[in-house]
Amino acid sequence: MKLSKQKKLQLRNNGLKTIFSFAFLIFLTSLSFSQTTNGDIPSVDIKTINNEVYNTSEINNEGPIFLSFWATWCKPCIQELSAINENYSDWQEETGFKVIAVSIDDTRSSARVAPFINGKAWEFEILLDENSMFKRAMNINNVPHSFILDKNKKIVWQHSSFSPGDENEIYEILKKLKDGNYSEDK
Amino acid sequence: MKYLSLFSILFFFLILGCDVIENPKKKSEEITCGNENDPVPIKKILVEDYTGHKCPNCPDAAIKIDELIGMYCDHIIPISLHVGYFASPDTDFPADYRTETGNNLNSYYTVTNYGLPNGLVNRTQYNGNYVIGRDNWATAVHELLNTQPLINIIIESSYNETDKQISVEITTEMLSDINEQLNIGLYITEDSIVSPQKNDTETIDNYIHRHVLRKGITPELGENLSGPVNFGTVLKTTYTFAADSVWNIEHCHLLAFVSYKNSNEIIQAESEPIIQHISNK
Amino acid sequence: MVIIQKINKFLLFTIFFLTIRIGFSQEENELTPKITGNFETILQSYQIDTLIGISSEQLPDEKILSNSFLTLNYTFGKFSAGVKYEAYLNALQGYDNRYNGHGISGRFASYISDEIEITAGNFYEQFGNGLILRSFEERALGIDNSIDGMRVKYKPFSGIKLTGIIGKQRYYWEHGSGIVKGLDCEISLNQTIKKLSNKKIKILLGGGIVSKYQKNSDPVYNFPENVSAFSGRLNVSRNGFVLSSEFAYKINDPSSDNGLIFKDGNATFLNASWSKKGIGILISALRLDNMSFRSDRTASLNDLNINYLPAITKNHSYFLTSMYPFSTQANGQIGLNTEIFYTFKKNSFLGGKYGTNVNINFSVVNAIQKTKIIINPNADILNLDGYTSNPYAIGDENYYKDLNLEINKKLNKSLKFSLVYVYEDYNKYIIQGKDSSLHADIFVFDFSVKLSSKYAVRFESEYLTTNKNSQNEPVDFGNWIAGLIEFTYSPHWFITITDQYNTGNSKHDSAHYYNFFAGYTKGANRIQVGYGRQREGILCVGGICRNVPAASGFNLTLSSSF
Repeated sequence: MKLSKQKKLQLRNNGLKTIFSFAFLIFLTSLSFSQTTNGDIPSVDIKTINNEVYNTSEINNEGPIFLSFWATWCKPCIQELSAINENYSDWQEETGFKVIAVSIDDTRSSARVAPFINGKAWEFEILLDENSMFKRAMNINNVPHSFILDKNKKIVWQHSSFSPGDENEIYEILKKLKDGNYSEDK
Repeated sequence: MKYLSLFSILFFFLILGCDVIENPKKKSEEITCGNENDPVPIKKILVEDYTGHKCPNCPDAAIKIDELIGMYCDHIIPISLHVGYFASPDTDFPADYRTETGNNLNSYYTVTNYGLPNGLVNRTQYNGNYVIGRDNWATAVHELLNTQPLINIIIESSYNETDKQISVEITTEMLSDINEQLNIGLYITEDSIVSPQKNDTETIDNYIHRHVLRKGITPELGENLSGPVNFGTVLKTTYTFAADSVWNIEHCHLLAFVSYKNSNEIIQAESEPIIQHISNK
Repeated sequence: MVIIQKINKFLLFTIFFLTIRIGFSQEENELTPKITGNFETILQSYQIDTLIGISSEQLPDEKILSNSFLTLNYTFGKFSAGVKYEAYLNALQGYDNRYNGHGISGRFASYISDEIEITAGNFYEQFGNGLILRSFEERALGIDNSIDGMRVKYKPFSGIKLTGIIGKQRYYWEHGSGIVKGLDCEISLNQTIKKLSNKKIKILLGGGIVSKYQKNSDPVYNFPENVSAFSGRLNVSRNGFVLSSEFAYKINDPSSDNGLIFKDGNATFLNASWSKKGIGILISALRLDNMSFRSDRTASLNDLNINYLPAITKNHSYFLTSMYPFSTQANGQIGLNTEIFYTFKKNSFLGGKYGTNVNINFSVVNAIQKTKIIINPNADILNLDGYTSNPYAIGDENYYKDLNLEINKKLNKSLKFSLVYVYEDYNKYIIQGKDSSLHADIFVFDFSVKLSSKYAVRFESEYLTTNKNSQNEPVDFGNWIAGLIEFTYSPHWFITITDQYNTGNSKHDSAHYYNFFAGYTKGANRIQVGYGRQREGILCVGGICRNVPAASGFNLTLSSSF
């Protein structure tokens, strides 16, 4: 394919036109509607730990969900999940939440996930997102990246990165959700 | 309905297909030294091999150049430019074939970004790229040979052994009207220099480095030759310069080319030894 | 090119259509249009630093380089559309400068229902383990081989999924010259056959075919214009056992990667694991024979790969343990990886109050056995297969060997540590194309203290030593000592100071590669500033690597999801 510089420029300009038109149309639609700021979980086919097809729209819980994106090679991700795991049964009893840990390990290490989590004695629900399809649909730049979903699967909180102590904030939010007095601004 | 769609998908499956090649190489009669009926002067194409003595795959590219010459004979004007990390000297590879001209061309065409070996064929784009991998050189040359030669270049030179002065006269004869600004370039190449070269895992101590760029007499992309020209115009350009004592003058060639000033695409190239061997021509 | 314009128009049309639809459907249901997206930008300044080999020649002309990404996704019920904007002004050092520039690098529109999913534009897809098809994005490595074209996913019956794709691959700001077509079928027997639905054993069957088309105009060789690869896979699991297997086969595909040989290629990938609470065991094996598969037969580096060949060795995460990373050898390798995960129970002798977690991993990768075919130039038909390989034999040359041990232990409520030892043999010539093989021993001690419910501090000390050459000097870059101190203040702040000290080698004097980082995170927004030196090396994600030149200067990273 031979492209002159001008042609390339023209193509990029077309691209720019697209983005502006896109933005404009979005602006138009948002004028007439009050948007909900938090969304549902997109529908993406990923896998269970047993290699079965799993559609993310099936993610469900009667209480809140802690949805965490991690990888076996990601230190802070493991820190985060370990910190939650230490209190998992207590917090679960108290708030009715559950943890869904989505591994973004690709096929290099996705087979490691099952023995890895069992070796760590974690009891989370694990999903495999081998080609980062779900990660991309959730607009995640880097792992760790975690979400708290309310029982209607609306995102009420999200956080990228992890520092020790973050689990306390997570716990506070889960409690508030349970009591029904969580507001997003604080 | 579902079965119907399944069937149509399976049909698609079947037609995906592939070519199982029985005979990988085309019959030898299909490959010739260009076309004997080509009008003289013939089209001559500059094939630049960007290389380095520490580059493990680079001897493969040198073999490709030999193959090209075997196939297309005088249509090929070869040159090897040692550039980048792989060309830097060290204790095991003491020679330094890097040149200012080579370095400038490398930064202009960013060849080392694509890895070595890599090359340029007449500084013309192939598949949208100037930098062309060695496996595409033959195809790129093949395509260019479908075009007519527009210029004839004649190099004449004399060499004075006492003061090592080289005088060159380049005659360019237009075989067509050319409605663009033209550049002319002149380089010195040296053939058959022996020094170590990395080849895959081993080092060949007595490797013969061929067609090595030694010096650019003009700037790397050439200098102004003329504006738009008419058919039949004959231009003469002269250069005088001293040979470097490191060079083996017997093995040195003068390499000249004419290119479009705007695109730097080469229209015609030519190469002649500085010292004409009677047996040679 | 016309296609792109058409797709752009299609996209606009879709959005326009959606806009109108919203107007009508508002009162009938609660669907609302949604816009989500993410943004990331990295800026790096470059300065002269002769101690680590950066002279004014190596500096880019621009004082600051940057890579930026913006993705916007619009969803409304079953419809979605998105655009991706990228700006490399100019691309950071180590990235291919064919990325230089800015513009829309991808856009798509799709419709998703329970039964069918249709996408037009750029998409990412993987068949099975990716041995015959994987299009993906890895920003850290500058890889994006998304396919621009059409994809249809169809679930005609419960448990059966068909995926068909056609398109061209992204090649920097353009498209590769080859066309990629593919079809994959996945059958979950437990969902398809009612009798099996309650069985503990889960069986999944899959198969796919990918074909590429590229014109041949070579004057000498009859290169195949259509090249196909097939794969079949079987996954079985029961209780704690998980077995996954895949075999792939590729018809004659001469390319620059394999030296233009016409041999067929094949790949075998097996993973078996057994685990229950507290223990896990994994065995993986991967054999590759001439399996590079690109949509342009002359492409190189990370360009236009159609398939993905995973490196099965462990992906290390410390500075020095990741100094010599393995990357897959598509032309031929046979490798084995075994790993044991174990937690000593709480209140046992080795477990202590909180349990002790241990991880032992061993992997070895060798060449495959190859017997060269000597070409008879007088034959009517040349045999250009290059070599034959006995699939049951192992080649003599070792590419990589890695034995490592990791112990994670919590001492009390606030103290935790990890100990890591790695024994590594690394064939640098094969993996990186330069220098010779080396051996490295690496030790890591990682210690963290929780000072309060919000403050924590973590220390890392690492040591790497390489084998010595005949002059009794350590080979390659020689020995390294690394340290890290990281303060975190939950949930927003962190400060990290790191230093990697190279005790000297034949190329450079001893040097400190210090770095200082500070960052602030709020929700999904993050800002990080840093200053320091980056060592020359190989950055790898998932077994694909890129060379990163030494650099020195300031850097700034901003990222956000919304």
